[in-house]
Amino acid sequence: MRASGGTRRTTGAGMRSRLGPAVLGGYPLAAAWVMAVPVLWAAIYPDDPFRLADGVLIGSMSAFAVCALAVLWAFAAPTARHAWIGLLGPAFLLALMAGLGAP
Amino acid sequence: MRHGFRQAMALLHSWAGLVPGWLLFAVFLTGSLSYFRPEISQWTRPELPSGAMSDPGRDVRAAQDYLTRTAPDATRWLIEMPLARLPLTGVTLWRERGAGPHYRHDLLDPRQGMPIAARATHGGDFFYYFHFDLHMPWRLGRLIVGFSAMAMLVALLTGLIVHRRLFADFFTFRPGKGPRSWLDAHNACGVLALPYHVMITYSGLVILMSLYLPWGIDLLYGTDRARFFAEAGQNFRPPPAAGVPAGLVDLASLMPEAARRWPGEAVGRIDVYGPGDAAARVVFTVADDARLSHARARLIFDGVGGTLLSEPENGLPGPARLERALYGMHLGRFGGPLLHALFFCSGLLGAAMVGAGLILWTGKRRAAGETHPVAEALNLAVIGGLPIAIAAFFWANRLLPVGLAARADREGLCFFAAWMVAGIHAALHRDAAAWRTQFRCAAGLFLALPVLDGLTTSHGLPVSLPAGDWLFAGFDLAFLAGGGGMAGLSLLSRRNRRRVAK
Repeated sequence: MRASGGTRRTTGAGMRSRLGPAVLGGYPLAAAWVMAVPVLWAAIYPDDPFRLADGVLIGSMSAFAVCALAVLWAFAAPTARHAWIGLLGPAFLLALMAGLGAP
Repeated sequence: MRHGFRQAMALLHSWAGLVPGWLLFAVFLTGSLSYFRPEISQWTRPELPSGAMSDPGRDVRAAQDYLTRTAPDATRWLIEMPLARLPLTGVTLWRERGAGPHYRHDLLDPRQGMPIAARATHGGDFFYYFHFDLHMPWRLGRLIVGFSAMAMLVALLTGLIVHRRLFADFFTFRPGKGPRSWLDAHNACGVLALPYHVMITYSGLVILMSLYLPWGIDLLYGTDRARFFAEAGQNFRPPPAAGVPAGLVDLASLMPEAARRWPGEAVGRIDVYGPGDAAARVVFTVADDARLSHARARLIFDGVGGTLLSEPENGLPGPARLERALYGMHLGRFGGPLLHALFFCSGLLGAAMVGAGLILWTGKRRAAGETHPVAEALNLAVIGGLPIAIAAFFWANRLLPVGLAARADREGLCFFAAWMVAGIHAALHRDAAAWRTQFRCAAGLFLALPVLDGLTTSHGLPVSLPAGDWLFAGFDLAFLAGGGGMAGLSLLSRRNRRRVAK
């Protein structure tokens, strides 16, 4: 077994510091994604009411993949700070885009 | 860096799998049972006459008569047509104004047009609702299951990254080697049905996405969510009520039109919006056994004159069609018994993958000299306890007196009570002997079910097998197979213990 005490300690600490960005960073990113994608979609296809539903569906269906990748990033990022910035930064930009572009 | 990445993914894999793992095992197992929801609903009502031939025109007329008699003031009716899998007519009503219940669901005997005279039971609906709702109040169960499904998706992705030697590992099995064997079993179950696991996890999230991620709909549709669901091809939006009474068209007279539009396919359900109102709408939907997608063809009729108004599903855009297809794939109602059985086996493999992963987690740590009492107790409580609880549900269905008050809910209570007893047993004894006890208990309960069935109903194996009654014979054989599997697991845990003792 490779599980020496030292490795276990560092992985335990690593676990705790990445749990925050994974759970509290992944969901806001997915939430901002589902708002930004339909707004972008509506900007590409104005004047067609059905495209609005298309955008919402595309955004929602892809959001789970975005959320899963966000969780992966939270654990793969070099440091916990990188993890937070890499998730909340894009989430903020997407939310801003959605807020400004929403009809 | 590369090594660090895989180590981080391994860490994430073990925690994303462990924390919701106990729940995921239960969701996979009860979800697999749900592929046979109509069959379970039939088995749990042994009084029903079997092999009833349905006559769509007569069934519709009977249902309309019943609803006109009992609920002329309802806001909406739903008639679910009898299927070969469950030859009963489901009638549901919603009432927004006036006296009487706001919601009522009945099962009608199509031949008499009266509620069935069978024991009160939730039947297959019990496992179906448990697998995403957990029988919890409000939306709590759905949120918990959604969180777990998200973790499952992460565990699948990280599992693929960690087990890089996917196909080499698939042909590796080292039995009787403690954690190694569980790792091999975990990998084999995961890889064997990998496309299924990804599909079922992702589509499960998509089905409830408007609950998990409502923000896009909220931002663009505000409070008018019904408009989104109508545009996405999920719901029909009826016109507002006219407030002028008018007689409803004879629904059976619309059946020939449906038969002409859908040759070779049956009508699955009939929605009536505003029965008795001048603005009534009747929506015919094609049966869901012939098409994979849940974007089922619809015919919309004027509810007074019976004129065909439109067929909106033909114009459904791509994203909505994809969503409906994912929905239909998750439900798995299309195809025949063989396909349902394959889906069922894939679901069992999912449960086995999760179960082996859980045992691997505690086993590996135990081998390294660590014990995790809570995780070990939960492993036994769920992997050993849930089969006992499922068997207890079927036992309760046959043993609870037919006239018992709140009988249907008490069957569910038996399920949870048996599970709780197994859980307490697991908390008190977590050793190999306790695993054997629970597996033996489940094996005994399942193996005795055909006997119980033969004693309490007229559908025992000696009757059903020669008669070619595959529903009842199939359940009895499945119980025997399940009991045999449980007995096999109890033998396996004995052998492992001997090896450890050596």
